[in-house]
Amino acid sequence: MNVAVLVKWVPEPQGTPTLGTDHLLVREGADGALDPGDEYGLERALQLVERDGGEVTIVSMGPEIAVAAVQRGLAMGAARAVLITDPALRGSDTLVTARVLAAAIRRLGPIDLVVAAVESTDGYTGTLPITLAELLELPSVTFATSFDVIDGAELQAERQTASGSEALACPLPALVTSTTGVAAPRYPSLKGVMAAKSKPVDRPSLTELGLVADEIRSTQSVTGVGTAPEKAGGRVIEAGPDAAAEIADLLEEARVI
Amino acid sequence: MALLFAAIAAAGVLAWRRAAPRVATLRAARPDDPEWAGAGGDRVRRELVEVVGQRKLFQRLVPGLMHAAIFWGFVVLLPTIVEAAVAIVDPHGHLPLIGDTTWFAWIVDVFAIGVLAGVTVAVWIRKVQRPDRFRGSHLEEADRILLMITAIVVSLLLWQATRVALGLVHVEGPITGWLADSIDGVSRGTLEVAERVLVWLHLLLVLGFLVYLPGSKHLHIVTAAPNVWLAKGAPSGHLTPLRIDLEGPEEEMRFGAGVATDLTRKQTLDLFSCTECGRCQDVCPAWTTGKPLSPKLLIMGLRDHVAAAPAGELELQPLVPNAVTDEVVWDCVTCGACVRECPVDIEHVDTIVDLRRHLVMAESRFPSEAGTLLRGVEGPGENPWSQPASARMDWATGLDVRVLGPGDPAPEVLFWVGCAGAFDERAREATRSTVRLLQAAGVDVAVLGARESCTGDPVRRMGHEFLFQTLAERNVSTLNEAGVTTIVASCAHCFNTLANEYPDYGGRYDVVHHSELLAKLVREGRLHPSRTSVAVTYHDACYLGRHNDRYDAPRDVLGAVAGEVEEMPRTRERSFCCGAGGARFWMEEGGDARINETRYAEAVRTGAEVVATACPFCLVMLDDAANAAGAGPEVADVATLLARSALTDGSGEAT
Repeated sequence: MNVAVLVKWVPEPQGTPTLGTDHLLVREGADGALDPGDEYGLERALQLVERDGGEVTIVSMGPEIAVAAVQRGLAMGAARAVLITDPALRGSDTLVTARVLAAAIRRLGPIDLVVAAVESTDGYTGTLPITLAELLELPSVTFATSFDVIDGAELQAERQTASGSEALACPLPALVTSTTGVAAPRYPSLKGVMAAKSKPVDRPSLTELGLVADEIRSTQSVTGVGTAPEKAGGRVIEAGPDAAAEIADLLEEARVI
Repeated sequence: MALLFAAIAAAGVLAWRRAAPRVATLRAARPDDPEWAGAGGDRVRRELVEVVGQRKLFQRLVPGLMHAAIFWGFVVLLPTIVEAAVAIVDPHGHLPLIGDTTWFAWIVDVFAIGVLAGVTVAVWIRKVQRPDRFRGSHLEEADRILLMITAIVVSLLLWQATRVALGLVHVEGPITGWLADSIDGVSRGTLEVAERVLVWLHLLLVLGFLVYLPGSKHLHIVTAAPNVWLAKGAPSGHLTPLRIDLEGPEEEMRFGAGVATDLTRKQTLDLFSCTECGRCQDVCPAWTTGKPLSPKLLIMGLRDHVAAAPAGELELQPLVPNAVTDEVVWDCVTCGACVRECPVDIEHVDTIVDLRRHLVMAESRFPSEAGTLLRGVEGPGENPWSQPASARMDWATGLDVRVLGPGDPAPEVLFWVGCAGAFDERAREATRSTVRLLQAAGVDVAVLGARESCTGDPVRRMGHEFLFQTLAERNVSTLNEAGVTTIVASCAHCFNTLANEYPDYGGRYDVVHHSELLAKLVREGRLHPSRTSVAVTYHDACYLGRHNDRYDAPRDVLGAVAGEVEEMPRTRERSFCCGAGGARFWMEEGGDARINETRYAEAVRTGAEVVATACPFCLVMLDDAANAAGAGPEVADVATLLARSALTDGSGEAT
């Protein structure tokens, strides 16, 4: 079974991002890493190929520093990686990104499963995986809290909904987006880090991917950004005989219970 | 004569056969890192104090006296073996110089009785007292050895008595003289036969002992002295670096101890030096709170594994979990109590760290909750709390603290805040107190702010030597570029790493602990605390006390602000860990009891109103225990207590 896992280099989530005059993130010189949200799906994919055989291929698009994210994925155990870097792709919208990734995945040959996080922890658009599934003409299962492959032919997944959960099955090949619940990501061993250095990282050009200029021209642009309002302070409920009931009321009001 | 040589030769061959596998194992072990330069004097001193003087055995008085009597008797009586061999060839023969002299006859008698008295005490300890430290030890083997020692000494005394009675020697000691008198009526012919039988019996017993020795735990009589010689010595908080060069050839890469042949010669000799006395087990915070780790059982497990594997196949089986389980390896708090206690200088902690190094770096196998630590320290904020570097100065809100920027003039003293001191809510109070006290005393102090990273202590003790090395190199480069010469650290772990481990990475500074600097400022009259009658007890941090021998400064500070320090039963070099060391702070704890709660309960029993600490990790651990207990004495850092007493507003907090 061959699995393609989408990963993204994101700036350090706790850092203060710098935006350029074009409202785009300044990525040069920023601290960053493999998107923590990607590690769960990658871990699950690695578990599946370790059990059933096959290979995990990391697929990523990003600036030169994204090599670090790709290396982390390889250190965790992926067999190979594809990373597309091109100045023309700076500030791409999700449709362009999806086209590039789709071209890269098609170029890999037969792929049984594409795994992605529900959304990235920098852009949070959450539209990329389904756009990609559409371009690849794959069935997609989103928000999986767990997923498995049965006999190398069928994807079975649980997905979280607002009111409960659903169990789904769909034939492979397919695309699945994973939440943090699917697996606890492994910490790469130093041996893994070293082995990652000699694993193949394919760096195809846009021409090699067969993309033409029209396809990589973004149709969306960011026209303005604002600062989120400061969070209001929480409410403190002092310990006392009514505290528990009061908390229960609040939780009910918030429809948590 | 021929018979004698045949007996000796046979014993020699048999003993060698039993010893050969152990010698082969030692030869196959990895050579020790050469840390010999300049340490010769210290090694000689240790041989004299620990081996000849039996100092570590006397840490327990009665067993110490018991062992010293047997050991000194064994050493003094060695010449009598030669005397017996001489007498077998010629019944009238003697050793030159000491044979047939009154003083030596007395010495033999006195020490022989000493040995018998020692054996009697040993039997009493083992059969009547039955201390818990022997749980898991091979008791029947000890019985055999004690019986053999008794037989050797009794046969010696009886043989000497027959010689006195026969006039073969012309002097007598008090015991042999008395024995000789009591066999006065026996015929000369019988005595002559008895003398021959006894001398042969004595010599054969000695040879039998020699044959038994190599395969037994009693091998320590051969290995203890070299083991003490090879011990790394003080400070025990210093771990031997394991250089990792990711660019170097992969086959040269080592990641700690995975299989038996990864152990160094000293680590292997440790295994053959253990007598299973269990002193380590008795003081181990993990074992005494009901966890699987016992330093003794760890060493025995490794020894049995190494001894059972036929030479040449040692490389095949991983040490963990075959020799010791994963749980055992992760239970250790690296407090060093076992090492401090061990009479033959077995270095359990270093071996455990080496086992962890392999698990973490080669196999990525560790308790999952500890992953937070590695990810946080590896992450951009470089701290176990996973906080951004920009939050490193949040503790200083409202204080005027100089943050050393690149190119700024170096301060008189650089305050190394440490991650706990910067990010933990409770530890921050001690950090603020320390800075305010230093400023009040007119010390030119600055901090690195966002340029400070974790020293690497927790990840190193967890086994991630490479991550430690990366942090050490970076911090050393920051400190060196800033021209720092003197560092004060309020964390015992940072203190140990900065003082003892950074020199290996090119960082040589005058490192003091905040308790030392504060005690000095009080002594010099630069701080003026007022004493109260509050009863305090002081908890020694392992990495300040036992690993670095700093016991008095924190007590001096307390002496200046409070009444007498009520000592806990386990104090100073025999203090009991808070449970945080060895990266245990970030792991979940199993067993029957929690280490921090056990220690806090001990502190409560002193009747103190305040439990003073001098390390943020001890502070947090004991404070957690206080919260769990619901009521009890407050836990506070010595700096906090001093600030309350010596700063004008008296609140211990910024105005």
